[in-house]
Amino acid sequence: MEEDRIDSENIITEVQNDDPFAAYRQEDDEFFFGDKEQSTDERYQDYSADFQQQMNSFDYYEQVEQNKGPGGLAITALVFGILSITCCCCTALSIVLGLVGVILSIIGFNKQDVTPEGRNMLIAALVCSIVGILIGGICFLLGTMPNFLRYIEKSKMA
Amino acid sequence: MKTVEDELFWIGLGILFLGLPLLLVYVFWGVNRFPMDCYLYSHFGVYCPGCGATRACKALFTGHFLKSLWYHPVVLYSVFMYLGFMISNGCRLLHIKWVKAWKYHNWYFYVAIFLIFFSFIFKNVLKFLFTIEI
Repeated sequence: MEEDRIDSENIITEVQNDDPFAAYRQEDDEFFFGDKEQSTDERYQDYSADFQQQMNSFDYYEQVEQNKGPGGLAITALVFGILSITCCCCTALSIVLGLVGVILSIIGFNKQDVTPEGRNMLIAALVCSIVGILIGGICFLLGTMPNFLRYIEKSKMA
Repeated sequence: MKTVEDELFWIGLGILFLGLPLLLVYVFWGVNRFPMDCYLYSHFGVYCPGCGATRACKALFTGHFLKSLWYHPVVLYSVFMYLGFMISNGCRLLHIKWVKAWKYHNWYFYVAIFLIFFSFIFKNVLKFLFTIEI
């Protein structure tokens, strides 16, 4: 037993003399699943190459730029929602604008990459569009109902 | 890389060339021939959120800014924001450095929504509590 211990200590000191990173290498071997015969320099070169490759493929700045802001769809939906409210005197136009706003909002909600900012805007767009459709619908009914009743009376008379 | 400001600038330019001629034709020519009576107002006597917008446009185009604000504040607000955004971003795209380009913010639209509902409530309160018609 004593001889074995002395032998192993000698081997360790020999290895340490040859490889200045031997101590780190022994620790690293426990967590390293690649080629264990590689020198420490080669391993770290591989790590840095992999890291660089990952950074290039991720394209961090492009990702950040894409996620910035609520998105064109949410803005367009909100504009249609606002227009459907302000054009409620134009009855049918208001309903059409409101419907477009609702459809765009639903498409926006179903998109995977919607940001929290965009989600808030889509909620606002949906509410505005529904209010526009309701007011436009009421105006449409009020505008067309007298003509519709007159038409029914005429058809009854005939 | 295209930013939100770039996209909004080109959309705004499209609206200017398509929408403005139609609006001018309607306000100065079509409004008397094809009047759009507000059914909500004629049946219930209640102002709708869009009531006064046509009069506000007409007042604005004839240079009566305060009158326009009184009829419907969202018209003057929209025109101010539109011109500010388009001119400043137009200068940015033309590389004119001394004009600072406006950034896009969500509150531009939230203020517009607030003004629409504020005007709706304010006009109806004036009408029913103080019998002041706008």
